[in-house]
Amino acid sequence: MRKRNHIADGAAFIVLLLVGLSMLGPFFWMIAASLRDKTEFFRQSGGLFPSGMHWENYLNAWTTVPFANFLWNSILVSVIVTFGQLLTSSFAAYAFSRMRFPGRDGLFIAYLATMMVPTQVTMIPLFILMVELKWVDSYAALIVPFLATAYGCFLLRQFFMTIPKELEDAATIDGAGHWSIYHRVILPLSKPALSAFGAIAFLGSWNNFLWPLIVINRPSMKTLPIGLQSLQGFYGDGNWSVLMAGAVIAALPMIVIFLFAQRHFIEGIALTGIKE
Amino acid sequence: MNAFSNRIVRRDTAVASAFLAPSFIGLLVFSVIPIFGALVVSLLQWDILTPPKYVGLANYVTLWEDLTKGDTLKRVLVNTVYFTAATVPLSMAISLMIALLLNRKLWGMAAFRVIFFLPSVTSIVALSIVWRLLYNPEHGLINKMLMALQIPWVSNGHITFLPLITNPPGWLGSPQWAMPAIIIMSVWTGLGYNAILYLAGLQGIGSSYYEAARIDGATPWQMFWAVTWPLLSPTSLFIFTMSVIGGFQVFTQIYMMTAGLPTPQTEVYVYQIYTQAFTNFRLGYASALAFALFIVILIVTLGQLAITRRWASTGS
Amino acid sequence: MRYAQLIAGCRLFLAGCAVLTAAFGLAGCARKTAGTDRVLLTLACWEGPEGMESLTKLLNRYKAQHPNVDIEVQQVPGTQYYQRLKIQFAGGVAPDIMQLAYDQLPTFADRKTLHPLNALIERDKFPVDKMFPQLPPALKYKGEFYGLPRGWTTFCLYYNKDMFRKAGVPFPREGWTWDDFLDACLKMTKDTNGDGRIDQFGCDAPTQMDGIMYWIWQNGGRAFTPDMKKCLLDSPEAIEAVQFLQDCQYKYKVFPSPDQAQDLGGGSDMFRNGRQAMFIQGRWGSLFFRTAKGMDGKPLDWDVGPVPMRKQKATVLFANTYVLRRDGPNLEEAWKLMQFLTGPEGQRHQARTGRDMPSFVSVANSPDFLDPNYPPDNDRQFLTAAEYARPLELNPNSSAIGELMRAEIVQMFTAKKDVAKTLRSAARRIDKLQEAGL
Repeated sequence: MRKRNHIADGAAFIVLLLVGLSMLGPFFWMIAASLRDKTEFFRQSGGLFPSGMHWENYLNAWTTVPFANFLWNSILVSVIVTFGQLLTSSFAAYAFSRMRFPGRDGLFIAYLATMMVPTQVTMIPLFILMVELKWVDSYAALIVPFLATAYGCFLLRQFFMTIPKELEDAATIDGAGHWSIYHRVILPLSKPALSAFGAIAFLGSWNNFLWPLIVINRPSMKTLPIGLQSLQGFYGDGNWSVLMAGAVIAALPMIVIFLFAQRHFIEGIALTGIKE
Repeated sequence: MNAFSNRIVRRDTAVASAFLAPSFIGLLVFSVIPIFGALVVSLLQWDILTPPKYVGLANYVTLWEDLTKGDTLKRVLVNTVYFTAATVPLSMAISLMIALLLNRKLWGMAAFRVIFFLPSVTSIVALSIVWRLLYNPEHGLINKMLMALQIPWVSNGHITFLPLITNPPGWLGSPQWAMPAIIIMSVWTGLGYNAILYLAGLQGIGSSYYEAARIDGATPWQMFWAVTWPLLSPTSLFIFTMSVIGGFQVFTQIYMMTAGLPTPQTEVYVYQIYTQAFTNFRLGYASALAFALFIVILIVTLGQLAITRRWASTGS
Repeated sequence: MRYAQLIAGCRLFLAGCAVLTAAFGLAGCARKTAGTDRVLLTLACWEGPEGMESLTKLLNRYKAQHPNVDIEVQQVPGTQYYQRLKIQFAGGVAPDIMQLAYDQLPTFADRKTLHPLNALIERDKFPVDKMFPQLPPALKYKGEFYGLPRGWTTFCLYYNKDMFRKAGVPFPREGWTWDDFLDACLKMTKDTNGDGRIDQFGCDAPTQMDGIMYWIWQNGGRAFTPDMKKCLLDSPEAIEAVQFLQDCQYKYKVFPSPDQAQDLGGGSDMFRNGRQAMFIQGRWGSLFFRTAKGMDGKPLDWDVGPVPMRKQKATVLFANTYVLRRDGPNLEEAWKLMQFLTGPEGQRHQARTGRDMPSFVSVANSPDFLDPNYPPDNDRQFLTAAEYARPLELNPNSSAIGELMRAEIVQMFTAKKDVAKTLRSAARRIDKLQEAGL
């Protein structure tokens, strides 16, 4: 029976508490600042809490730039990209883990190799491609380049390989072909991995900044991150309250989604650290 | 190999192609071909509105000249290395500490995990905006707190309180503090993410190791260095590599936090690529810069693979 | 949940997504091939929230007169505006009608992205001859009109009457010199609340070409030779002028540093918040300063005067134009809208907002512009300055030159880079740039 060192535990708790406060602090400040009257910033006074609740800052932010469009665009793009990635990756992962064909392992390594290419290299040629295809300022530009991901193929293959062969053999004996095995056996058993990867994919798509910044110019087609950036372009250092209100509006959806699906996100992150 | 297995393999190949087609096409068109595209563009001079001009290796020559004789690229590289060299160890150390504490399974662990992870989930655009206000020299919380720190002092027989810091840093507007400001913010943002990774790694260490160490009479400090740290090395290496690669690619928070302010001390490599490509419309030169970045990242990744392989084979 | 159903649902969803994406793609085309009479015009501008109010009113009036027209306004922040336009032109999705600063006209016109207007002006008899004579040259490239003005302005000096009175400095008047200006700045740069930090300044540093050019002209210098082939920014007159400004920043410290500006608000915010005595800008400042409040919460007491002079009087003009997308799909409708916005009715509306000077002389001399009920009292100043106002020296390389100079100006006024060295190296780089025909 091991004795718990209560003093050490207490100290640990206090440290965690302090770190936790420093994590939450900026969020509180963001909300507090968004409720201030804008001139409060330029006066010497101004304590921790705003003097009044100026909810009109939110209305201001919402109407200055088309937040409704931003929200809709982000949702549409992220949902489609997530489903797309889940589908293409699970297909490929199934092929790599459950099938045998010549060149399988070599091809998998080739897939992995594409993960080493940083987005900054491909973004210029892809931008040129978008220009040629006339996909600038379109949903296609935001969705199509992201439908396939080697990352997903890798993660899901690792997971699929842990599913016992007996289940698959049983299905084969019943006369099932690969498609049936895929969607009747493998997919149902992979729910945890799929939802974890799905969460990460969604997060990545939602917060994507550089690519939409390049490829979307029309304000009504922007996604939330670059929409928020345009709000900063209009209010700069002159009106912090409205800018903070905009930041809250932009950050809220993902935070809410995260709170409801924390387990999936955290599992997804942990998955990424798994090496074979 | 008999006829039967040949047939199975053939059938598998056909079906496999169907399963692989979507990802294969996607990766080919949007990952592989663009690499060659980037190389091709780097040999051109193009401003997107007029037809491109073939210039051979001129862009690379310009790159080299700016690197050795000019000052922009040198400064940009130094900034990028400075950023990476500061954020990676800081982030790893602090997140390891957090993971170790979380691993004690105290009360409220789940809540802590959520709180620490919150910054990683929030759009870094929104976080940049908040931190820009936090760093505001006169109205931001950080300087307000710094200026509120006071030390007791004895003067004329009474105890008075004097402010500890009379000249708080100018943060984003000041040459020496701009990059540290961004470093602090970046570390803060990534802590939760790395802590979760470390936590997963820690939980993968069997308790038998610790038992053996305890039997040998090891102190907690020794246990850390003899058991925890070595067994965490794959995780550490992974985090290290990801963080270094991420460090070289940093863009968003710099773009957001220094918007409208002069950026010589905080301009990093990807920011330079972006500026050359989409502000100055020198797509060829920007592509050359990007390709150079690719080579560097490739070397780092291959290095990590090699080390992992060596460790795996020697069973370290 | 039955997983078979989930998977079937997924397949259905994917099919639906494909349809949706196709639909949205088609919707993009729909605005071009409007089978019905409804036309959707896209208008790009850099208006912020304050400017949008007046633009929206004007556009609503147009829509009332033309009920079959919908107008989508693309508001893009000024710092990214031209970037975005270039990308949209490249991608074939440029807006039908766009705001463009006159100094960008040569660049965009040269790349065949703008629609030439001479024929349309003639056909519909747009009254270009009723404009101020300084304007048409600024609107043409190689003899062809490419833009029509939403309005224009000369740069004049806004000043805070309160601060001048408190410091005992006479108000700026015609013929006052650089020395008078510096003297005023020195008297009005101080620490007003005794906290050891200077929080009131004389004026602020330039950030781009049109902020330094008129100082150079006043000193007898030029940016280029008249044929625009050689850069003259390294001439002694130019160096002297920019050195004077840099001294104001670092030697006399009457301009705020980026540190100081950052927490007090940059650009016009410092003047607007009552922390700066003077501010040189075009007439659009009037719009913002009308609602300005000083540090004490009271409305700002301000007026407009001339910029100082040295060897001669000079100031820079600025024209804000609308341009049309070359051979755009909605050209005729866009041209109609443009005539409305830049014609007499649009000009009168603009004049009343205090945004800029109307391009038509008659409107400029009417109460719409010279309204005595709104500050500044001295509206006429903008008209008087027109006599010595010049456009920037421009050619198709001006966009790139402007960017280059902007970076150099930032270096000189925030990193204290040596003026003579910087201007000499900039002039050489500009000459090389022009030779390469970038």
